[in-house]
Amino acid sequence: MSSEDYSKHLETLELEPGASLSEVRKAYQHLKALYSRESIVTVPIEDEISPEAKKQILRQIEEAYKALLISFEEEEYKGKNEMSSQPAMKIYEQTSVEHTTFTGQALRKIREGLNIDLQDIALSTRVQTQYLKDIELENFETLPPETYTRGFVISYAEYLSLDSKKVADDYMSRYAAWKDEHEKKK
Amino acid sequence: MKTINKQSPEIWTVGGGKGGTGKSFVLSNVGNCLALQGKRVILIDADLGGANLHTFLGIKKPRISLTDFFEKKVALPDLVVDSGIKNMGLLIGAIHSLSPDGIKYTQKLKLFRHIKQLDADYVLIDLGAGAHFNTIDTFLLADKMIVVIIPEVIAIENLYFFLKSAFFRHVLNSLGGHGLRDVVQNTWKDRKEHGILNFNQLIDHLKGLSKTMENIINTKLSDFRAYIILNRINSSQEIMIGNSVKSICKKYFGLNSSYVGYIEFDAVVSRCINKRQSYMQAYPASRCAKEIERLTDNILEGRDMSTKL
Repeated sequence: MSSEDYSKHLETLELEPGASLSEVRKAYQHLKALYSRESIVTVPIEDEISPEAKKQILRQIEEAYKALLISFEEEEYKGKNEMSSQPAMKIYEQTSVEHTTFTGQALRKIREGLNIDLQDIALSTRVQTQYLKDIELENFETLPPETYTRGFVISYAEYLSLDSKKVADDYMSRYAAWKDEHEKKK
Repeated sequence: MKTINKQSPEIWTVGGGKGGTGKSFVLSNVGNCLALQGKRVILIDADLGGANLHTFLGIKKPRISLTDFFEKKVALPDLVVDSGIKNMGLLIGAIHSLSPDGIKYTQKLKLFRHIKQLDADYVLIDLGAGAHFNTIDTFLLADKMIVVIIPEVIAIENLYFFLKSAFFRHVLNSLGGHGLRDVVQNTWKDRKEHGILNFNQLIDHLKGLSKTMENIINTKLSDFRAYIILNRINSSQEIMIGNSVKSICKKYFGLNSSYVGYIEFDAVVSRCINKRQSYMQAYPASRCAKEIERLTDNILEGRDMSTKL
């Protein structure tokens, strides 16, 4: 990516030069939510902008995010050739494609590979950190009823840009199995 | 908006449209922070309708005010009273005047000139609520324009209106010399014919009129920057509202801003005001006090707050 494009994309995501992957991700999540949902910040100016212009803003945000992710990946490659540094993005791409089972452990691995804190997810999804921990540890007994847990898993997966339906279906199949088992014991 | 004379004080103004967002509270405490750092500060209460900055500092209503400057021609420095805090003076607006719009344009220019000649490092001006052109012209006088909002939809709505009005006025004020002032006003008057529905379209339309106009607007856009303070937040989730407002200002209106910091809700604040205590003096170790110190530094440095939580 040319340095001109790089600056343009960073500007779109309202970041300073040299922003880290986790900062890029956070900014993207924030802006995407801001321009696609209603909030006290956007309600007052609904008539100020046409739906097309709004879509255009969202498109630019998506475009900038994708381009920046690629540039991070490229850098990772370069770094790898020079020395065997931590391959963050590479592993993520592989796991998200290859994984068909999303156990709590697998989710945690993906998250850590992306250098994302549970607190980040909690702040953005409004799911309590403790529940996120329970999801990763598959502490089914402390997780809330099925519908809620499913919602939490979806939020978690969306934050990591995973296919949330796939993740939730897989994850909840184990939850259901545990629940059956648990009820039999009773 | 830049001060040419190095001797003259740096001027900060605090506005933001809605009343009750804590402008006076923020300004008096930011001033206190600067004074604690050894800087010489003068607070001016330009809330010409309801000057009450003295209450935030816990001192009695001064007997002299800006009215004396206008009516009795008293020199401005002679109207600065002791604020009760070291390094900080106070100059209050016309509390006895019942017509806040009663200042003539020439009087206003004279006042601005004298403010710039005050002997201080920083002059902090507290504006009243609203977006009257008198208020906005004072706001634009600043080297640093500060706005205070709270996480409520009306405050945010008023802020957008305030900033748009301020920018519009900023452009208008600079067009006088180019003989283009009427062009802008007429365009706005005939906006229906031009198919202009909002601020953005107005700016685009004006830019399309001529190369000169485009250059002027672009210059004005680049030197316009508001410093946003988010006051009275109730949860850490609300911190991001400042980032959101900043983003909207840029992406919808093309206006630059810096989000310099937030201040948590603290019930002690209103207790302090009612007891006529200065908050920073009474609770220097509180979380709010730390937050105010941080945002003061950010304004000084002209940078955004650090978003790393």
